[in-house]
Amino acid sequence: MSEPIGTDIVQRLMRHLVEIEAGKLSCQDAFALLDEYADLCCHQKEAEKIMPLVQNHLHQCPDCQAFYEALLAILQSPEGANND
Amino acid sequence: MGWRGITVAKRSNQQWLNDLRAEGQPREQALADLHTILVRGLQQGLLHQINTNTPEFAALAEDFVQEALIKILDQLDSFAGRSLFTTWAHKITLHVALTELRRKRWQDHSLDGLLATDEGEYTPLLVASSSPGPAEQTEQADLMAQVQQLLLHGLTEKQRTALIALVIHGLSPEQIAAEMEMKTNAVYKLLHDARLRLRTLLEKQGLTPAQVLQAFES
Repeated sequence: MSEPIGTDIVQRLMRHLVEIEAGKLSCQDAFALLDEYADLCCHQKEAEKIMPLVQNHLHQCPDCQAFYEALLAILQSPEGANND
Repeated sequence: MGWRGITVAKRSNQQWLNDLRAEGQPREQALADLHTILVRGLQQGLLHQINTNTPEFAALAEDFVQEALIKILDQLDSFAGRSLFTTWAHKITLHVALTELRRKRWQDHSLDGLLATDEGEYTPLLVASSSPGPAEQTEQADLMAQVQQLLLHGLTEKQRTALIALVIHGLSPEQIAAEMEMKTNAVYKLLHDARLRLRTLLEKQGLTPAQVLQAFES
């Protein structure tokens, strides 16, 4: 494999190592909390103050941020709230 | 689409759990309602991933939701009630759908292809950053060459494959285990060893992951 690895791959691998080392939320940890975080956001509560580690992870992880935005799109659609 | 316009009864979290754990008509109705909710959700959630207004999407969504429903029922006891039940179910379904879409892309392209620089082989969702100047570009190019060598020659192929599958493709250790035909515990060990090896190799070059990251983000 003599082809160069892209900058994005190197960046994401390094970010992964930094996060693991710093004891920050991993993607799996953030995923486990994402439904709660999304509900807080949808109910006008200060999710970033209540769950700052999740917010921090989302700011640093484009994939989780994209997943979160897709989840929010579902919840904020007219058909999204099907739960009392 | 057939499911449009169907009215679904609202339930509390406890009602969802009770109905899905029940037998007979309450369970069947709850499953049908949840199915409708999740398919509608996917149409919104996958808007930026695929065209959700095609007949093909309906079949795809059906597959995703069926798989998600199995997971949801399997994981019912793990639902802690800290969110709405439907939010939790949407999260699982979206994860199933995106993982399947990603897995399909991964299977369509070899790892060599993913590592190659061919345009369009892998499009990350990174936030665009401002362009670095010539000095930074040179520094980045040098660092890139260094780290590339470490990744290609310092890690074993298995370590590299597992780490990239986890970090770049977002696969879970369980999914990686299935893909690599390994036990999950062995994948955890493999990932741990890969991280440790990479960090050690960087240290030998006088680098830390944070320094490398900073060079690319400056």
